Amino acid sequence: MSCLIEAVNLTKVFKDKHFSVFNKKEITAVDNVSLTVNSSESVGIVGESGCGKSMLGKMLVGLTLPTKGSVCYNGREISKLTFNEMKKLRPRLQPIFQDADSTLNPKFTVKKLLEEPFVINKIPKDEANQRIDELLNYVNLGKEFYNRYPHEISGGQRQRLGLARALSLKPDFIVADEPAASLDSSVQAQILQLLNQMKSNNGLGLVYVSHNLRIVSMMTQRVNVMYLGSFVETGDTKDVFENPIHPYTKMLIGSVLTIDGEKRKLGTKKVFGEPPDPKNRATGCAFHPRCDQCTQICKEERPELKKVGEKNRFVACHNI
Amino acid sequence: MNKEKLLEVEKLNIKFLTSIGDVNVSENINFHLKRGEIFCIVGESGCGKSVVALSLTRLLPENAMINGSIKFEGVDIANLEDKEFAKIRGRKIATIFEQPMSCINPVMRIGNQIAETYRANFKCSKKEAKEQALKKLKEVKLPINRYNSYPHELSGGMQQRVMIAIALACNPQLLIADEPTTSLDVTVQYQILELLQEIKEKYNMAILMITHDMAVVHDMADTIGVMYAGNMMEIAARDAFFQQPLHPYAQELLNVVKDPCNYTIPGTVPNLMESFLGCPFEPRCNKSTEICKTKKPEDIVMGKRIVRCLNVVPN
Repeated sequence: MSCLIEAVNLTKVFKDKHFSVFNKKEITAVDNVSLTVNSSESVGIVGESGCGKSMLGKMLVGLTLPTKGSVCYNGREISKLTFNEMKKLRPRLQPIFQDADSTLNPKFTVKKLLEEPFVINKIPKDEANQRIDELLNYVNLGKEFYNRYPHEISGGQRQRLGLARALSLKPDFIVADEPAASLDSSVQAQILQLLNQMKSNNGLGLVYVSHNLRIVSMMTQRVNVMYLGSFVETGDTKDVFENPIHPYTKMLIGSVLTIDGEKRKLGTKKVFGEPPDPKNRATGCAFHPRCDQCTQICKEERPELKKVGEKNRFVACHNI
Repeated sequence: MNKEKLLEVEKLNIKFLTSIGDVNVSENINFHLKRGEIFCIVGESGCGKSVVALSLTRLLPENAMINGSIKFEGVDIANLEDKEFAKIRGRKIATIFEQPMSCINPVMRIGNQIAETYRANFKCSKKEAKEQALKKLKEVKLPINRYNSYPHELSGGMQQRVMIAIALACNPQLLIADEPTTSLDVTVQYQILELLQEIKEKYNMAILMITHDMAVVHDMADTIGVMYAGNMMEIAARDAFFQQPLHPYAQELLNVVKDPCNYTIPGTVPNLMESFLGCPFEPRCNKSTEICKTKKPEDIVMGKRIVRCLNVVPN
């Protein structure tokens, strides 16, 4: 397998405008994160809201430039490309967002929405029309949808339309940012299956960003657990979910509700605290205020990702 | 534990009258709730689950036509005068919603909002109300020094706790929770659900919970009601339901939730503007027969279970 996307030491820093000139404060949304994605592979990124997972996804498809670090697509660094070079590369890297509605122009019909990517990339009309028919078929939307507007179709159909648009130029790499979060379970299943099909049929690399751990565990081969901008645990999905090592991963997996087995007893599992505020990052290990195994060193020194065991398993914790 | 029936809903029909036709959002719904019981209504969006919950506290818009009987503590509250009903809403039946910020006043300190609710329902001094508010803050596990915070200073999970505290201010007997954890992170959701269960145990309250998440149902419910297109398709005790749901829709729903990568329910949710001749689930059902297209299913009572399907044989 070839390495499709390689991100090295990605960092994204935002300046907080609420602070005065004399008291500049910075927010590190993504902090020194490295990640590789191969073709035909799906990689999950999980974490609580505000941990920077969406920002990381945006940087991977080149929608935002990193403050530090680089993203390479097939060995070419995308942050150093000129505007025209980037324009040529765009069709290869596609995002799918949680809220498909926000990506669809409400004044365009479904047909026009689907034609848009072809017009922008100057692809001949007959070729485009043929491809559009294929796509609609693929995402299970009939021809009767051609002349409808986004507000005339249901949420699940809109999401499928968003998928069709992302797929229209045959990308190699897709970042799916909570693609099914706002949908009902039966519609959710349709979207997930489409994504899986795409991955196996077209051999594309997929980054699945979500806070729904149950779905990530089913959809991905590798998973990265993110806490306040950096990865705290990475490894094969199966290993991580069966045997979480980092206290945060344990807590996160412990808080997932299942639909089989016994009813949980009150107070048996320890889940505490709220998702942290990136403006007031704790010193040392960012997780230490919520951690039940916290020691003195956790408060002072930041843990690095260390290899654990034989497999591709990395954990950032002092106490392992 | 007192197991009398707290809430009894019988033959509840809700219809919205709109300029382009009537929308039937609830057809002949029957269910009841005991004290100390958690009843979860689960269903896909647009199936009418929230409307049923809102109808219990008369929070529906004016174009809603409600028919049927709603008995709360033995009194038919569907036909009460508005003035009488105001004594029940908030004091005996409280509601929490998905979006806390849409219910909390953004320019009022949270402690005062809890105290205000208490004072609105019981005549008491400001000092007493403040004491009560502090007690409630403690109960929902918010630090007492947050009494003077504004809602925007709190995180989403904390705002949810404030809303629960406001709902609990008058010690209600029935708490209606409409998708209380949908917008929260898994870790926060876990804590909020635990909090709801603790409160329920403490006050022997009944909770009517509306959700679309089967995992939440599995975690919380004592009894489950599955709704589809305005019909209560199945009501069953939690354990029995998760072992073997009887209605085809409930079965399919459970399969999809268990294995979303390999299983789908074909078709889409029906438009409630159209009236159904037969069973609303018939077009998507894999067990449908000729009779399903023409005859409306009725509730079949099987011990503690109720199933609305023509192909289920009562034993």
